[in-house]
Amino acid sequence: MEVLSDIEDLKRLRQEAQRKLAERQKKVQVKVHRGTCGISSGANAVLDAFLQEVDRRKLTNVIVSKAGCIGLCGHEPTVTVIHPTGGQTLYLDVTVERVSQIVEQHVVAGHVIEEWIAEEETPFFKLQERRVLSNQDLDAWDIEEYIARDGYQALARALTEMTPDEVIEEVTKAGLRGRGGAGFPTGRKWGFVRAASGEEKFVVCNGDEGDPGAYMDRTVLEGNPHAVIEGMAIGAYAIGNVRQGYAYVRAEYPLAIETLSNAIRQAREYGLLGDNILGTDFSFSIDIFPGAGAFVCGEETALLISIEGKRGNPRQRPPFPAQKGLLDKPTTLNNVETWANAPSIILRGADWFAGIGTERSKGAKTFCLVGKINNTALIEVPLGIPLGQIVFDIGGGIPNGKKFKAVQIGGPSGGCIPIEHLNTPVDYEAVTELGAIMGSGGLIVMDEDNCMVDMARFFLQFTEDESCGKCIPCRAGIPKMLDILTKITRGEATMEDLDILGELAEMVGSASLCGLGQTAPNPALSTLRHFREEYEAHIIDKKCPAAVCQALFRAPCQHTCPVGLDVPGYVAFIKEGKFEESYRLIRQRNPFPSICGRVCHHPCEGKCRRGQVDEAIAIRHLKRFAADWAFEHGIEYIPPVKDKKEEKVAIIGAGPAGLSAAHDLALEGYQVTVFEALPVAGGMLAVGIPEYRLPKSILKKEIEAIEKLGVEIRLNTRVEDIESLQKDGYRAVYIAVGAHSGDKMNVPGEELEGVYDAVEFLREVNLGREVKVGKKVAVIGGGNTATDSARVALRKGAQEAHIFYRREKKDMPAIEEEVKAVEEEGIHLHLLTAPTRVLSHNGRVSGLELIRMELGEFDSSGRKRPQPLAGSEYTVDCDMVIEAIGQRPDTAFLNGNGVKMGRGGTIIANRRTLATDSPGIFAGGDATTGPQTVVEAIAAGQKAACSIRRYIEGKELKPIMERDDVETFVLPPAEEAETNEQPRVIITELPSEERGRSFEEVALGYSAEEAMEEAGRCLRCDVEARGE
Amino acid sequence: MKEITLTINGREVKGKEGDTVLDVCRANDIYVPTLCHLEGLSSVGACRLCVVEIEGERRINPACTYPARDGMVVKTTSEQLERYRRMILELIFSERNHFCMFCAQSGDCELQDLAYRYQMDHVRFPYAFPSLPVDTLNDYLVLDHNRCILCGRCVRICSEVVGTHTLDFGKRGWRTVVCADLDQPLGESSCISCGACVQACPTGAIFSKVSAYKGRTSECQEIESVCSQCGVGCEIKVLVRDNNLVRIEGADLTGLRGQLCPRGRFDPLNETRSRITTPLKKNGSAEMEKCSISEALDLIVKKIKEIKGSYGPGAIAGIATTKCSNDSLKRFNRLFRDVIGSDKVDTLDGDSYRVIAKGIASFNGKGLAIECPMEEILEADCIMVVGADPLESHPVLGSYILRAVTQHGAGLIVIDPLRNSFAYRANLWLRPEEGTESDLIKGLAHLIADMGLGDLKKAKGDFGKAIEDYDAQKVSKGSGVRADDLELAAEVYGRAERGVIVYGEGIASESIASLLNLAALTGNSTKNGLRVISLKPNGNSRGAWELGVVSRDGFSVDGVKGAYLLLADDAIEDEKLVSQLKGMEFLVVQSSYNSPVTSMADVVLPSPIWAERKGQYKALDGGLRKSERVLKPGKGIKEDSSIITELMKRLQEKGGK
Repeated sequence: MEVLSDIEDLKRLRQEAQRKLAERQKKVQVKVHRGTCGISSGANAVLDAFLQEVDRRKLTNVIVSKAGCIGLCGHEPTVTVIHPTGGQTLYLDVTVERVSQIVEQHVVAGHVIEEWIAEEETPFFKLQERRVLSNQDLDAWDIEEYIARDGYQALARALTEMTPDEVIEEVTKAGLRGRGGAGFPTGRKWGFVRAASGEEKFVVCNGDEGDPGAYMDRTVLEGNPHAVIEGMAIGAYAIGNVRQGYAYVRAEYPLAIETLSNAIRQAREYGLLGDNILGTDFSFSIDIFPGAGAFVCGEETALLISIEGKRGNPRQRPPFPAQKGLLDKPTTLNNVETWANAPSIILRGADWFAGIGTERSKGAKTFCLVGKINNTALIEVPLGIPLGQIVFDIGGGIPNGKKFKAVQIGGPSGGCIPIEHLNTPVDYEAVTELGAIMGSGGLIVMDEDNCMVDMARFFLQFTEDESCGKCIPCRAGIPKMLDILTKITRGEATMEDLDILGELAEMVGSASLCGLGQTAPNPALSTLRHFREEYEAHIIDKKCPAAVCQALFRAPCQHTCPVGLDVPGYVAFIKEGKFEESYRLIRQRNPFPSICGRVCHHPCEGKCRRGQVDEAIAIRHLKRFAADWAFEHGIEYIPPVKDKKEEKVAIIGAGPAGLSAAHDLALEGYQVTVFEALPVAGGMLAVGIPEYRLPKSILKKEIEAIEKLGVEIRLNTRVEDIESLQKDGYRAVYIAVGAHSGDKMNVPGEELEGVYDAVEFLREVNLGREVKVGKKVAVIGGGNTATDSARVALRKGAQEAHIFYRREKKDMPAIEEEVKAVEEEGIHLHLLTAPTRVLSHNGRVSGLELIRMELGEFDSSGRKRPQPLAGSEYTVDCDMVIEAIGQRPDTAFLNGNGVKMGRGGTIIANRRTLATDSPGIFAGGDATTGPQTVVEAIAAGQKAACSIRRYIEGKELKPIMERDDVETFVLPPAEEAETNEQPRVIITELPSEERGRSFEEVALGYSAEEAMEEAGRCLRCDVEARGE
Repeated sequence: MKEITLTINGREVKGKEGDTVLDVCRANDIYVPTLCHLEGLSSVGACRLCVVEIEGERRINPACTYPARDGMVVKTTSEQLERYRRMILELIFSERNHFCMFCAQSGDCELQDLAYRYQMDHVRFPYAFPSLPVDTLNDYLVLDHNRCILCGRCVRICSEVVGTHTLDFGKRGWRTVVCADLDQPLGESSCISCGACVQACPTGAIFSKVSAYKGRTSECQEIESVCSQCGVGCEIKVLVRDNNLVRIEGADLTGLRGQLCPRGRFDPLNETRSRITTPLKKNGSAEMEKCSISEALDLIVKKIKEIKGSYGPGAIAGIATTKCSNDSLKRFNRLFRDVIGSDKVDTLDGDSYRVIAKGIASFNGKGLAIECPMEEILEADCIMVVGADPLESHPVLGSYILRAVTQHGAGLIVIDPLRNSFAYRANLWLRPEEGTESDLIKGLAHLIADMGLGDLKKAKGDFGKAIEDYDAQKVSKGSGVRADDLELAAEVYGRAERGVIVYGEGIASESIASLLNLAALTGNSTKNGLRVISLKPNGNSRGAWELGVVSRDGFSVDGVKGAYLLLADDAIEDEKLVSQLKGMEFLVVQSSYNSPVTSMADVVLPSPIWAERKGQYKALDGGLRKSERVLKPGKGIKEDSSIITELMKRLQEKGGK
């Protein structure tokens, strides 16, 4: 060690350090990335293991050292191996057990173990711009490594070549803004303090990082402490009259404090801190002040007061710290990352720094990417990068195929940015415009399983705990907001509460003393802004769409089921072998158990708690089992019918929406007539879903059960005029005509012979009519109608079926099982392509002209918008084209009936009561929503029945259905469930080669034993929720 | 101060540079609601009621902290501001348990007033109803957390004005509570029960046990006066209802002399002694019976003449309390020295005053007070407290010392063989063996001279010579104080530019002389005298000395046959004196209260209590204080001075001389 007495000394030391580094590069270097995150995953043990292994093998040409965190927090411990022959390799998820193998194969023999390493060429690395994180591969405990990489050259330059004003000018020109969150221009801040009068001034580094899920500062302090020290020294020189700096680092970061202490000590020993630095008359030293354990101490005034040894309460500004800061002296307070950015600005210049970023936000910024994200990581990206790129490209998207919902940015002070805004450039202004804040850089990704109300509640709980209690809006207002949010999550709130919440949030945000209170309402405000419907669902529907708010439900599966089936109940009966009870329990609330057991899109399984252990319970298969078992055993369950009533009700459409309403109204004793235009009842169940998914016999049986209740179904009867129905004495009319019209592609040639509308195609086939199917069939679209069409085409004799879809596979709306089946049956899936023209030969379809698509910006659905790639047109041969790109209701008959129409021909009805604007006329199902699912149609029918009953009885319509299920079932008691990993019981299917061209049902159902085993996997979380 | 012009609510108003927006509003009668603000304390902007809109500011800002600037445009009211204020009040009411109907401060509560002003007919938020304790352990104060709004006025007054910094906040968020020390009960804490917090509290969270439920401010008459309980002479405001004391407050709470101690604020309301309402004389069967003032005076005149005739004037002694005003003491002195012709006159605290006087006299040969004003303490950079426990004897002066220490870091050196209330707050506590204080002080002087921090030429007489032998080692050995502590004390006091010495009754004249020399040789003096303050025992001790009531060369009742004790509302604690008085042939006691001495007396004359008399007093630093009559005395009770005047008249009329 030598004391550097001038700039020449520093130059010499750099050369020497670089020479040593070059020496090292001739050897094999093993760097164990050992941040707090790494250590918590076992990096110290891995480091020891490498040292022992190298020692055991007496390897002399290997250097094992420690380095900072590399940012792949989800894959710690990570180890970099630099081989003189093979470059640099990053190993992920290194365990002590893997060490000897890495040493043997890679370190000694030079063979990279491919399966354990990180891919280099992934967006994760390519899209990052690592600046303050550029030294994470160095050993932060060795100042010479930093010096070898031009460390302290910036300070030397500032001290010897630049005036303080020039330094400030350069930082200002660079456009560096406060990385702690508020984004105040750093150069201006330094300028203020320079201009303030005072013989003694201070610089302070804010390392009191406290946001949940944020650890950028910690990583920089642990990995690149000298950059912070050098930045502070440069700032101190620029500001003038500064002899002392303080680094306030939260006490919860022991390794950061230790690393920074060591760095300060080394800098002092080398004469880079202390008196007359590098022989100039600039003297400066830094002390560390460990934080006092309060989040609010990250607020600048509270932090400074805390350093003074007082209670860390913020104080009102003005005066600002630039005038009256620490000990009432002018003080500059900057965040760790801000200080760490300063040296590179001085060394490489403002233009280099400002070379990336946006107009108003220059440079790069670190972020912590946590939550529902595949790559939990610490990243540094150019400011202005679209949010979606961070989530989907760098972050690798959402785990388990779940749907992205929002990103909470800025921690408890920030707000959420929803799916519609994935193109938002991440810079200070754009983020603020959406009601969030940049904050220190915590990004918490949330998916469909996160309840936004609960999320707001969580952050409010945090700020409530961390409020210092000084000013009343924050101290007393936040608990009241929290009270309301808690009430909402319990389903106890009213819409008035929502108004009070909004009012309180506004007041707390405006009137609070410091940033903590001013920003604390943000999570509530931004969720209210972007997710108001979730609040309303909790308040009006008493539903938590994400099935998080436990007070609202017994079990998430039941809560998520649109018809509210007692899933835990019937699964428990199956487990006990009580199949009849199980069937009766299902049938009580669902007139179509066999149908739903086959074709329901089972949202219940998506929220199944077992899914968090291994796989969700196969709820749909179990339902089918119970229904099939009852069918086989001749058990029929007809719920009791009330006394006959005079009133007649007309239902237009015999699909699931209409029939389930008919069922419920018939049970009430009303006289129900269902008018159906088609020659068969069942709607899409009959003419949309192919036989191999839903056998006609099953459908017929369940419709017959409804007819037995006295419901009259008039087939081939198209209603032209509602008024005449009313004249005929129908007290109420329920329109449930579904969505049976196919959308058009609007490309030339669409009118050609051989071009079919998928709905029409499936209908004709289902009705047993003659359809001429081509040899090579092209289906356009990615939904269930598309997959059905392709599979039906094959069964109807097509030699080849091709599906053309304009997006990626993961974006296909068809349910997963269907996509899987398509592939199993040899149907060709063409992705990222869209038709531009139907080609013809002799007036018949002869092929398709398509254009390749590339993915552009994110659209409002959160998927990347496909855009035609100019000049990429190509053609394919085919003799049949089936358009399956969307459906709409055919509601032309309603013209002049006083029923309002909305977009896409849908009928406008109250979402909750299904009442239209015309008294006595109700509408539901696909006719009001556009194409949805069977179970949603059934739920709509039940809701309509409920509203119609209240209407006829002259009562006010209610948003929530009332139920008076008659039978009471005594559920089997819950036992301690086995939570060892145990995947679901696979349902037997017709092998794909046997399916061939037949319409035989593909899924074969569970045996009794299989069903009981599968039911045994249920965790019975309903019991826990009820506290039984 | 430069004048500035602002536009507030569209009106042009004037303010001074350095004002806050609130200052300007208040000066111009523009109403801005406040709760946490208290004139004279630092502003913290915690309650957010005073938020105003300032042109050019993105956010609303509290008027109490925002510096007023020339040309500023401010709005103190708007739909939004009023909505916020109301909501803040609702939050306060729902936060804790504010049940006005049985609150001691109901009607005297700033929170309640605001609720009325904002017509808070209901609160939209659910009441939290927290379960909070009530601390009643202090003799005088109750701290009821249920009614606390955490405005911090008590916390600030306790540190900024009282200087003890006993109160502060504990915990955080809605759990925040005001707590004493490290969350001790008030009665076991460092609280000196000065009651400043009671007066600062805007609600009923801290209230006085002795004043609770006695009456509301609006029902009271407020009279400004001074407290005569000790020589500090604090300015008080007395609240009186139906000729009863309701409350005593500091007249200007945050001003210099407006702060009080429990003796001035609470004790007078806690008086349990029984009053003497008419003159009494001893009848034939040695029982006290009521008589007219004229009868009583006649009897006194008769007896004085008899004794004077039999034994000469020197057989009649007069002893007065120094709680009396100048006027009474002056007449009392005249009664004896001029009318009766006896020089046997003294005060109850005469002995302790003679010690001080002797010390001063041996320093400058004169014996006049050579002290600085008490205010100097606040500006001091070093305070040396010798043989005194100001927080006990003169609490308000004690808190001046604490303020100097806590607010601008004045060094505090305590020299006392006994642990006193300052010992643990001192930077340095020198604890000499009893009787060695004087040596220690000489040792300090010696060290200071050695260090070149003082000029022995400025000392009086042969002090320089007298301290020659007192080197640190010797003094350390003799006093038991470590030499390095001595050196440190010498250096701190020696370097002080505004060092103040405060000494009390606990030291000998010799020590006092040495202290004065110490101050002189270090140049710690103002234009008018040395920076030294002596703590005299009573409200008018200094007045009594200056008026010549105190016998200069000692006093004893040997050979005295008849005595006249002017006790007023004081009590006599000297048992030896009591037994001597018991043996008198004739004893007159002029007193407010019955006590053992009144039961020994041949004649008892009723005396008004402090609140019933008006007059002038000399504070311990020589400042003149004027007290006002606060209560109407009972029918037969006359000013002490007028009784004495009447007596003199009667003695003279009938050829007394």
